[in-house]
Amino acid sequence: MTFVHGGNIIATAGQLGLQVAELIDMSSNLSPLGMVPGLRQVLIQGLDQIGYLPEATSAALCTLFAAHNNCRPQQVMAGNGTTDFIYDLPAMAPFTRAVIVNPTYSDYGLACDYAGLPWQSFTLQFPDFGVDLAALGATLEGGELLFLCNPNNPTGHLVATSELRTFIRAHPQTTFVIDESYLPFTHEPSLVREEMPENLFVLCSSSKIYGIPGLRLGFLVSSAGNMTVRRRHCRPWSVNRLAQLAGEFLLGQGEPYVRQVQAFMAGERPAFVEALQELPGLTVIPGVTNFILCRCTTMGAAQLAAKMLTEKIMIRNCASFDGLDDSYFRVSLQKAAANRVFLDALTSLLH
Amino acid sequence: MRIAILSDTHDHIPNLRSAVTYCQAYGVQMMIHCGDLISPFMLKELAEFSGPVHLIYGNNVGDQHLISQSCGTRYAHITHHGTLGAVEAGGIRFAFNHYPQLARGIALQGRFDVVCCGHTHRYGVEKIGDCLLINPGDLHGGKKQPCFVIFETATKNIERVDIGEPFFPDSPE
Repeated sequence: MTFVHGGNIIATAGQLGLQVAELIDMSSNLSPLGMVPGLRQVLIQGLDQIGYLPEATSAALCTLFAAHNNCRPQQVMAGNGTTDFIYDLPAMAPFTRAVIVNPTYSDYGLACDYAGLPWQSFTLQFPDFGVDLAALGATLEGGELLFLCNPNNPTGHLVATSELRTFIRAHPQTTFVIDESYLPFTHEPSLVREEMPENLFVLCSSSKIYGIPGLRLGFLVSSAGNMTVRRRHCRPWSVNRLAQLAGEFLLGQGEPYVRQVQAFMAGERPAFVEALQELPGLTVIPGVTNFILCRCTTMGAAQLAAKMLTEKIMIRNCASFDGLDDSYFRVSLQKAAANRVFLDALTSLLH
Repeated sequence: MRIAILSDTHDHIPNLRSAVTYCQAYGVQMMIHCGDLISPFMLKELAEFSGPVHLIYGNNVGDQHLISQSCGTRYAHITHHGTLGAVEAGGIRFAFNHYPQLARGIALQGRFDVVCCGHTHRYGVEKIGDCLLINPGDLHGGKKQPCFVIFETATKNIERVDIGEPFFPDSPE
């Protein structure tokens, strides 16, 4: 099985005979501000703790997550990244089928394939790739599992939380998996902060907002009743000790960093998008996230990515996304200097 | 049962020593320390207390390895809980985390009778539903009067105990 993701910086550097630090990675969706101050020290101090088993169910971590997010610990499970749950959920109940709001993260479809669950796309359309909830609702029959990433990767479109909650309540026969991996980059509140309907599961990732995909730490949140059932299938020690320590630290100390990321986005994104919009043949898809989807009519994304790589810049060719083709690529905001290098390189390619 | 709740000692040996002496003299049976003890040498001071002591990490990092290894071994009556502590004593369920915002969230969960925190170096007591949220202030004593709390489990009475003097009493906050 081939997994197609952005951010394959180690493999790319190896292929090019470069050091990782020599590459500008615009393909990865992580926080542009690097590691949260203090986290390195927590991990170094905690290294000795890999000498014994981590807490089996990450109970302390779940309690702190719940305290931070205004829900109850019984509603929370921690996993080895949200990937753990993406691959578990399609297999957990006799769903009739899955509906995936595409283009989106490809692992939802892969997870359904692994579980033998047939799935269909609800395909979002150019130019804004907005989610038409009325049209989506009309395709639902009850009994299905629906995956929606909100805000969506790679389009960056956000459905307002209140609107989404109303929609989910209006379709009680459909089970919703809402992936909020990129929500902390916005000011929108999480669905988990208010009473959750029984047909809702929310995925909360630590990888993107804190820039720690290598630690593997994600959370699944649902009603306490749903989670009682889920826990019967819970694997012990699915979060390693260093990830537990990092999570406990970030839940206590991570909030100022998240606000810094949001402030950085507010300062950097508008000018970056404006510069992209001025380039010939390029259409910028409107969004709210740290990454930006673009359509290029003058050069294929594969060719563009290859040319950018000669400038030691990685971008994400989006041809692998269901519902997109070779005319789309995605870039993520990095620090200002890197953004400028990228814009200069892209400008000289497209002019 | 009288339980001392203290926090943010920040390597201040004299104030911690005074607090321990006070607790020994006035019938305190257990101690909860809400983090930022800082250096391992402070464990020796804390260990002078004869009853059980419950300790968690704060945000300021001392030698965490030596501290956690010494608790339960060299200092058998000191239990280190990591970042989140929970203990039941005198019929009261206590939880403790260094950060007030997380402590508040834990108090809202309704699983504990008393949730303790520190971090802000500000004494404060608040009722959240049926739960008491207690910040005992600090024993470091920067601009404010150093203090800690003695909690009586039978009556749920909270006694604030002032220890020592602030370093910079005239500084603006």
